[in-house]
Amino acid sequence: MKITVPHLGNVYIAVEALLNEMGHELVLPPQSSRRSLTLGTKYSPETVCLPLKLGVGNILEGIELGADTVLMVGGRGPCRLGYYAALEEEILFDLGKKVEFIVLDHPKEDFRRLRSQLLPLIRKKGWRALIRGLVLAWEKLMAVEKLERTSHYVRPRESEYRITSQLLAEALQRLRSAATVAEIRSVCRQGCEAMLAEAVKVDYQPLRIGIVGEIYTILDSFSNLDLEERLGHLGAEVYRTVSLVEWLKDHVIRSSLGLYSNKHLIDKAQGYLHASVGGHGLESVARTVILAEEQYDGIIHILPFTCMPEIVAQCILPNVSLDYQIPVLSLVVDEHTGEAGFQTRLEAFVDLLARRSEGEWAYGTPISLSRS
Amino acid sequence: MKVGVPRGLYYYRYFPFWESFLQGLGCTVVISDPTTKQTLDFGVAASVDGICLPVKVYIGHVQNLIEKNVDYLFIPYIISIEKGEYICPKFMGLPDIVRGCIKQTPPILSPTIDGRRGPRSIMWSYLKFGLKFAKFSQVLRAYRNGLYQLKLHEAKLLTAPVETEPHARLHIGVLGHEYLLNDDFISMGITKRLRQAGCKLTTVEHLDQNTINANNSFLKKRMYWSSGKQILGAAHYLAPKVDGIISLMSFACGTDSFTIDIVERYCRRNQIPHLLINLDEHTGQAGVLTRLDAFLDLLQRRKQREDYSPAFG
Repeated sequence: MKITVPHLGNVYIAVEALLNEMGHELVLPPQSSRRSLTLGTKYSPETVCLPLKLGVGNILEGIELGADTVLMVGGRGPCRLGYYAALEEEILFDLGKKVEFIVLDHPKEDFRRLRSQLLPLIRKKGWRALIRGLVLAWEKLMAVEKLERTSHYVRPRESEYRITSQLLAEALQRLRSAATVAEIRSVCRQGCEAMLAEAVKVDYQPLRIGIVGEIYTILDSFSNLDLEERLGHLGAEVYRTVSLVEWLKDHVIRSSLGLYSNKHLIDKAQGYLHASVGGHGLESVARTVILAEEQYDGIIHILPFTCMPEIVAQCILPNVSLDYQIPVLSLVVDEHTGEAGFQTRLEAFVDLLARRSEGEWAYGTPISLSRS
Repeated sequence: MKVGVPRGLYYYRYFPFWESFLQGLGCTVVISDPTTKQTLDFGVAASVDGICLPVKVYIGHVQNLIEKNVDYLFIPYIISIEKGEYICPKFMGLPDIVRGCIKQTPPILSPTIDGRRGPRSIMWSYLKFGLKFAKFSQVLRAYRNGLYQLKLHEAKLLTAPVETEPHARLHIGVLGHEYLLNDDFISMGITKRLRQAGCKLTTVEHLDQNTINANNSFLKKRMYWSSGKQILGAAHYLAPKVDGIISLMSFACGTDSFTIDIVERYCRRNQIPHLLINLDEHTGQAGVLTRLDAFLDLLQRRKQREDYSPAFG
């Protein structure tokens, strides 16, 4: 059985560790590229969101490399992600690809199917290997996020153009081959130290920009056209509000124990959004409020075209922007997003923030660029 | 007290209930005017560009009500209308979207309709909402009246297809949300035109819930959007009975991008002619009418040749 998974940023490092530890072969599709996007766009429905199109492209490229099984996550609404696996199955069926789907769905959906698919996976090396794999995957996931967070800090202060991205890529490669928890931690520590050594502009006070929005487009640097890197090179320190580790802690661990509550977010979004609208819609609004209170210079809200929960947030954010006097830029990405237009908008936004922080430009009208 | 109900989205399903419920609470119910170009233009200008057509139209209807000087707007938060299911996330934050798009709105009355745990919680939320205006006995009476009106409305829809003429030359299944099918402006009167062309129509609304539920088992995964479930169930039920299927969807509709795609795949596999009409604010009438005509011709010829013609080109 050769398993392939669609990409989500650098999460493949953790998935790879888990599957290898369980004794399965992972056929990793190449990093998302124009080709995967073109393939995905060709075979997916016209108006679905970008993550599905990229996912389909990844899976097709994985199948080209010899995969015969696809590992996907499921869900139970209201976001479209929960139905991705089912639609991908239909698409591949119509293309005549013979692949099996293993869907990590909510246990309440179809427990029998879940059990019958997961047990053979686990039996190969037993439960101990599963636990070992989970521990390794968790460590790697945390290490990935720590490395990325460090790179956000270092990039605006770096000594040499693009050195941070290089060091980050090297550290991630070393992380892939790390085989024990101790090794992972030391790779992570060394990687962070190497990057921090390059942070030479100690007196420099960069602009602080928070990134809110849909999780896939935040985590996946291909889909957001290296947003974080671009902002870093424009001299801004990026704070990513969405973290997969936190998401898993909240929605898998805490919520299965019945301990998760989004009350703190609802309280923050009071007056703008009354409750969760699925996905990260509520979080986008609440985190914008939180970051505005923390005196961030600006917020970038990124979402795939037609994303249902984030569109609700996009309607509401101009009001938050006006009330809290914080510039918000909503960026919609899909397969037509062009690099030049994207870069121009980011530069203009960073310029605006820089002038505001110098007090040159008072805030009168709402910074909602999508509306006049 | 004048309460305005925008003529859009779930108006087409729940208006009989809302009207008699609100009247029972002692309110005067004002409905916005039928959709016009002006309604749409306002909605397009006021809302964000990526949102779907029906929501843009809805914003236009809200503005129309504001111009009519209503005291309150009735826009519920609808999270779920059936147990264990959802509807589109945009309905979950609809009052918030309206507040985001229109600066000065009258106070919005928005009970939270959350039926994920079953119909009883829907009843409680309406009753709790009603208690702000009237005594419990009056609220209960209003609620019962509303339900009765809704039942009457649904029963009328269920019997509708039987009454159409028996000599219809073609029997066509029409799939789509009720807020597209019943709004003659955004759907460009497609249902009317089809009837004029001598077709017998069965739409999603004409099927009862049991038929829908019984026809959903062909799916690989349970559909968790109520509207999606209806469309897929209707497609599966209608496919062997009709000459062809026409699907209406609005551009950028999140749920339909999945459900209509599955319908299309299902029709293709089973050799059922399927026409997909994608509506947005730029849709020109002429192009759509040509496609409708061509589709009807295809169905007619296919019928004469006893299905020897392929379903797709």
